Amino acid sequence: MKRLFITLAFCFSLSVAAVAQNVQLVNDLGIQSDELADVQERIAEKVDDFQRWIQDLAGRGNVSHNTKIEIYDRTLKLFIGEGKSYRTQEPSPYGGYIEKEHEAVKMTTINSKYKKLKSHYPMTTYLSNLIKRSETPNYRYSQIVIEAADAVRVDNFSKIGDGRYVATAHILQHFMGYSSDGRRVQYEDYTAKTITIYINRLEINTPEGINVIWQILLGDVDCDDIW
Amino acid sequence: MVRVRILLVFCLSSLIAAPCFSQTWGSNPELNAFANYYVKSLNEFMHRFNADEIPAFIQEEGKENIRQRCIIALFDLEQVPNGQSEAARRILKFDSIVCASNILLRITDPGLYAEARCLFKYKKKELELNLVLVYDNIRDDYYRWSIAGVNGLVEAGIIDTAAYGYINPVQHELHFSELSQAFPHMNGYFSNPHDIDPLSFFAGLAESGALELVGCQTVTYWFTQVPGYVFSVSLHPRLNTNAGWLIHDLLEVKDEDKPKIIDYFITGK
Repeated sequence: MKRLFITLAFCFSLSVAAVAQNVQLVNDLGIQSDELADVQERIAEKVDDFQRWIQDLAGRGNVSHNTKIEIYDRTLKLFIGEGKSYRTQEPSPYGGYIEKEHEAVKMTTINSKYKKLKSHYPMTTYLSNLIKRSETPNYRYSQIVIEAADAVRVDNFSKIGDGRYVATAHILQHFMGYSSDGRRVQYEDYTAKTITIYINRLEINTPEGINVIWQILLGDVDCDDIW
Repeated sequence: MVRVRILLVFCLSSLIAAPCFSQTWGSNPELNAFANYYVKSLNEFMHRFNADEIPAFIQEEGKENIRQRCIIALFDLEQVPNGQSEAARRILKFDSIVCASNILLRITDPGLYAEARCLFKYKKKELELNLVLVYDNIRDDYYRWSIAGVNGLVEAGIIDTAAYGYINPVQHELHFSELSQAFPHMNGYFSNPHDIDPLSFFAGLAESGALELVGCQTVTYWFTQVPGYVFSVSLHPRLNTNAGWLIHDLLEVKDEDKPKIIDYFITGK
């Protein structure tokens, strides 16, 4: 219990420090600090959703196939382009912005902690593979569990246009594959992942005045390393 | 100094000798505890280095010498087994210079280089090259990473400074008909093979389609801003309390020698 309390105290103090730091950073970019809390919270929620839904897609037997298809669709909606190619505007050195076409959002994976081979998949393929594996009889693992650290670090806020920013979110995950009898962990690894975040400040005209909405979309997911 | 040395020994003993979490993990609180130690990004590294973001485990040890302790904890301490005196002395010296001069790291500082170890396909074989990238200001508040150099073309034999080609001394009278011998392997035919600019050569290979990018494997950051030092920051993925983006190489370099080192770093020459 004491250990749990210390851990929670650690997490709380770290998150307070991280948010305090980001207030300064983001203020340098012209975002008001009261808006920051909202942006931070929204990013953390989106990343949490992504992590939770991945666990649902990878799990065997807990979630029906139809529910997994719904979760698959919901997960893709978190991402810029929703699994398809997308366009962004990037600052030009001569003033103004340049339209750029991007391939569909990618997920980088490392196959195992032993071989450490990096592969890049479209997000649609990555998510489909999670479902396929979870429903394949006699798959090498009887159950897959993906745990995630609660603390999501959001940093590297950078301006890319008027009211448009990119940032990064960093997560730690623990993967466990159970043996066919389900009694022991046959394989486990830890991964550090970085997610690109696209942030758009949208102003909506309403009868009460202008409402500001922060649109948060996830981008490419990179696997930093595995161990 | 004695006090800081004691701190270093304390950090070494607590960070290196700390038990590996993998023995007991299985619940999220422990993964969360590990996440507090793990330096998750270059951004977090720089904020901890500048001590404008102080991790809880540093705060818990007291309020004195916070920045010194933040910086010590950012070293790859597995390189300093048992507080090895020479390596520890070098870390302490660096630490005291940074703190005394209040040197802060920013991503926008000139003097930061990212070395990306990239895998390419060249003539159906895998080829590893290091691209050097710098953080450029485009205009106003806008920045981007851009390619400043490439290393590995000479080592891979693609630029061959020892190759020698011969165009005979009367060729000028024949409209240099033997020039065809220099294609496509032109290496030995340059007046001064050491003048070959690797980045232009690389750009030519990429443009012609001879070089195909497979992906970036690892990234190392080189910081040259601290007077008298060049140091590298790379990822150290492991399950202990000294993990993530940490200082790996610490080189003592005279400031007047830094331009040469940076030039060598970018051009390989």
